[in-house]
Amino acid sequence: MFNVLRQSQKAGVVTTSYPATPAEVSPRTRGRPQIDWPAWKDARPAAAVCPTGAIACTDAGGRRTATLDLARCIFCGLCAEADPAIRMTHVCECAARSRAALATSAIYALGPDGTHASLVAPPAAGTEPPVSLDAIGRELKARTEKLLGRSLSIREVDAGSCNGCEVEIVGLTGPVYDAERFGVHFVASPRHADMLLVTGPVTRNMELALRKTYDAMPGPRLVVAVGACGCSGGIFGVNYATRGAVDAVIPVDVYVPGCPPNPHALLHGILTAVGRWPSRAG
Amino acid sequence: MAGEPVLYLQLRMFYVHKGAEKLFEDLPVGHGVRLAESVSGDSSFAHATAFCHAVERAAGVEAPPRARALRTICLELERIYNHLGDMGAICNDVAFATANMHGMRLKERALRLNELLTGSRLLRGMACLGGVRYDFEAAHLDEVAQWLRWLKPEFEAFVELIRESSGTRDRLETTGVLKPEVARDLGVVGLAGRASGQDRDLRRDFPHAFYDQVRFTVPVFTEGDVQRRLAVRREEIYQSMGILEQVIGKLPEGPVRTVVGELPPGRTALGYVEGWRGEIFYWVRTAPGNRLARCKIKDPSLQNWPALTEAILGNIIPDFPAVNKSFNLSYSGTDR
Repeated sequence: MFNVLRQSQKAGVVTTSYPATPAEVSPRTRGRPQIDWPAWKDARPAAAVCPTGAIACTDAGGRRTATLDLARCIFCGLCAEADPAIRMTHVCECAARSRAALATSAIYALGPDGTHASLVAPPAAGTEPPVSLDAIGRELKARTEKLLGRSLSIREVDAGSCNGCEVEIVGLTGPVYDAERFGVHFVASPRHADMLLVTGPVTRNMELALRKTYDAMPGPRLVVAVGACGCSGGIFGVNYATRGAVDAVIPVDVYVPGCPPNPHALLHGILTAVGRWPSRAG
Repeated sequence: MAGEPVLYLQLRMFYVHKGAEKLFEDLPVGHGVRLAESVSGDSSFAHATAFCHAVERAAGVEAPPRARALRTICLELERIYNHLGDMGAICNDVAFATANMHGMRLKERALRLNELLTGSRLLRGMACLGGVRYDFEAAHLDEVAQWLRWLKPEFEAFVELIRESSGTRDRLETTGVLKPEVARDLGVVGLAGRASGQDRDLRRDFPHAFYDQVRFTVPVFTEGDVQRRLAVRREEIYQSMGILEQVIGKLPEGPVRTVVGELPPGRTALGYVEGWRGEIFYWVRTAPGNRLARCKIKDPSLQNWPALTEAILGNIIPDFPAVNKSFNLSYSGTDR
């Protein structure tokens, strides 16, 4: 017993001060890819090396629509190797309230050799869905924030994940990220949960289980889709065995891209969902 | 159930079947590496490397020596971070939460080292056909050496913490016994097999990557209880630390990647890696157009799941989490 106390004292406090301080990442970390849109000469090489179609382009009538979709991105950095106009930043906080807000598109006029001659429509992300002006909706939102303002119970559902996301989610319960600091804790039943944290492309075998889990939750309830697979189906997409994105099965409130998202990104997504993400000075 | 003891455990698998094997046939072979990383997330690098071994063999090329050494470093880092997490988690399942917190603290440092070396905490994006994508520079190798110097006393203290806890040992010894003859009959592999007398390790028996250049021992126990599966992990971490030191000490110079040209069609090849859980196999048959006609994946979890149904028999329900965790099998790796 004495040794247990001695070891704890020796280890000291290892908890990160994130989000009050920036995410602790190393120089090689691959975060959100950044495209130099005006200088982008050709979207095709990057689209060809992208394993998930996160970078995609379609040509029509001498114009090309090029898209970067963070929901599909697995942050492998292959595009940045293939194209000098793309670089991988260290930014891991990519969570958004809508799928559309994760995708940025630009339109280029094409030259004779198929490269970009000029930028016709500057890059624009999809907009967040308009907040419902419905009075009931507003009231529900206020109630959600009031109810969930302090503590938050999360039920995690593996709807077909490779368990990479689970490795990082488990990290949230550890001493370094310690989600309990925010009153966030994981529960064993959807009946006790305010939020469903769903990972994986939803497999056809888990579809019914996921629906039932969602239906078993008391309202107001939130759903957070985690990882490239949860946000978009990821590298698995939609096939004979999977339905793809979580929002193909149940409504999703916040999308957390990443493959897997690191614990910083998960905290950012969870706190964004309950409107508790602090605006950092500077 | 009959009161507390478990009389029968039935497994119901394949809820997370994702059609991965079929998907390998649709993707360009290079993209298959990224897919292999997502077959079993906690063994990303081992799976991707086993796939690379198979494709490289089909193409008739071999990764350069430095790439093989770097692969070995990554495989051992993967083993260490998973074993550290599991050792804590097993203790947690018998209510020794403090040990779990220490385990997660040590694991987090390992994940951060992974990120420093490869840009991903789970070593994703590092594997590629013909070698590895990122070289480790002198500064990176220094970081590994420094981390090892930090980890050694920390791990020693962690082991001592668990060893001193008589309550933990009381719960783990003679719990979830998988007898050697049962393990043999079921073909149990990996660390679960080694805790039950199955003296097999691909790293020693069929050396891949850089394993023929390093010296290590394979810990084997015959009791087959949770305590011994914990002990295999403990001993393997010591061996892994030794392997890392040796690889860094004799790291070959040269390129980290060789060109894998267009795959000849109609070839078959087997790739394998001893992952932290056990042996991972990828069997491929190539098709025209640099694609695969078939990719068969065998994760160690597949033949280890039935072992859980044997090991749990006669144990009490409160011990199920610890027994389950001591195997820590992958749903995704089994279901694919």
